[in-house]
Amino acid sequence: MKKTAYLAFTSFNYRLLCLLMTVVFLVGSFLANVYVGKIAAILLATLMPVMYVFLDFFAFSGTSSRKQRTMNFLKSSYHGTAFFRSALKTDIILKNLFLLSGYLGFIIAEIIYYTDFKSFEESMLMILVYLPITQITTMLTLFISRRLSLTLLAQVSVCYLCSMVSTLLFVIYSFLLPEEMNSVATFVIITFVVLEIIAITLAVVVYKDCAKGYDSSFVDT
Amino acid sequence: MDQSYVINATNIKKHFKNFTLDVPEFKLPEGFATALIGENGAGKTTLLNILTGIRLDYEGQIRYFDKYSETDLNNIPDVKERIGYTGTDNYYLPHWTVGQIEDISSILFDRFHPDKFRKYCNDLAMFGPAGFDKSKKVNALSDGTKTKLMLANVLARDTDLLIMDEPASPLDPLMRDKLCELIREYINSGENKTVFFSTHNISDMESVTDYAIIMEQGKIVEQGFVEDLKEKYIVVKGEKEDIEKVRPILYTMSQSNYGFEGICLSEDLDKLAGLDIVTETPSLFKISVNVMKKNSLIK
Repeated sequence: MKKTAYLAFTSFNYRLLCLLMTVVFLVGSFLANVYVGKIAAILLATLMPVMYVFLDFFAFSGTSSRKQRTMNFLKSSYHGTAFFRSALKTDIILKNLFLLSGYLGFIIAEIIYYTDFKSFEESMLMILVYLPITQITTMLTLFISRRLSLTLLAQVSVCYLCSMVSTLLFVIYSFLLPEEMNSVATFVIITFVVLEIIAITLAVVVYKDCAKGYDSSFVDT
Repeated sequence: MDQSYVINATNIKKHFKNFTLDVPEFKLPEGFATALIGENGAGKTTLLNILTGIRLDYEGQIRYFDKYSETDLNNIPDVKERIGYTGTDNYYLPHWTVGQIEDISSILFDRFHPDKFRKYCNDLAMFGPAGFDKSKKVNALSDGTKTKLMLANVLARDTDLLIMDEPASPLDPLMRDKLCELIREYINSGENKTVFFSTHNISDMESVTDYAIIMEQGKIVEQGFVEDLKEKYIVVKGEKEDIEKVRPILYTMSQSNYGFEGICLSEDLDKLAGLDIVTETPSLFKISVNVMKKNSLIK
């Protein structure tokens, strides 16, 4: 049976590491919530994008670069363009799912060790904002790292930038939070919707930018 | 018998900053091995990339298999399916493994045979005595082995036309000999199988070359069946004192302390009557080098 484009394009090691990382984050966020408390979520939100962007280097590095001339093999096939787009699309969707599942451990811990509704509500509201911030950070950094044909060391620097971006977004968010607790839920839900729209738009931009990078390799840059 | 052509192109033009590829007419004879010869920067790779659809920013019309236009190349699966292409260093992503390449080829090409791919990999001794190693990464392979991998891949497909960019360059002499054998086998494997390759290793590839196209500065300066070219040109050797007499007649000439050696058109041989000269049939290498010399910017 033929593999899917994503399974063929990415190596087994890359997929294994992505999966392993997701399990680590899932278990880690569970344990962190139990033993450290809610504050651990911010660590998770900063670490996750860094790790997934770092791993991206081993599969999609430089794929949206306008100077890439590395895929003549794909270009020699009629199915090459569809194949590459399919692999890109699956990867972007999976990365977002991995980010979501990273928070699952945190949520599971809340459900298992449920004490009072207020604390549970607080956690859920927190994750509603942290998740899109994590997605935005990841997509923004992927956009940069895929645009440039980076070395491994340069990719580490991009990861560092990635953690700075997420920290900055959290700081901005904390300043914007309303003082009165009554309006926090409404604010968070509106923020979630807005940020999620931005995150999805960025994911589409990253995908389209990569696809455009591939298309532009057929013509002079 | 009328000669049919697998590729028939007209008015191919591609402008770069300091270079223009300008090919008013290009015909690739069907059922033969054609060599594309030219110095570095002559436009060989650009022409091959245009013909294979790797590059789409050019002017001109191309007809494939006497049936499809250049737009069909990217719109009808059958066209690219029938053309096998091997490139130079920008072919596979460096972190891909041999196993991945096998999987990707199965998706990209409807008529790719994994069993044939493995057989060719083993026949070309790509992984030493241990045999097929699907975990081997492209960036861990030598240039020669990368070329073997491309060859194994393209030969594992059912194609009608092979287009290869510099397949012989990274290969050792033994493997070049094997490459000629593979090309010959490919051509003999079907009625209308055609091979088109660019090369700098003219001597090594001469035994398999039926038709030659010589390019210089973006233009085709000579082309024809090798046997016809060997009749068209003739090597002339003579004494030092005749150098000035033969200079206007010879196509190109090199001189030493003992005499001269050059090439001229066979039709001009009468003009050398009376001189103490020796003539011989030129090799494709000699024809190519002299034609290139005549048209080159190299002084």
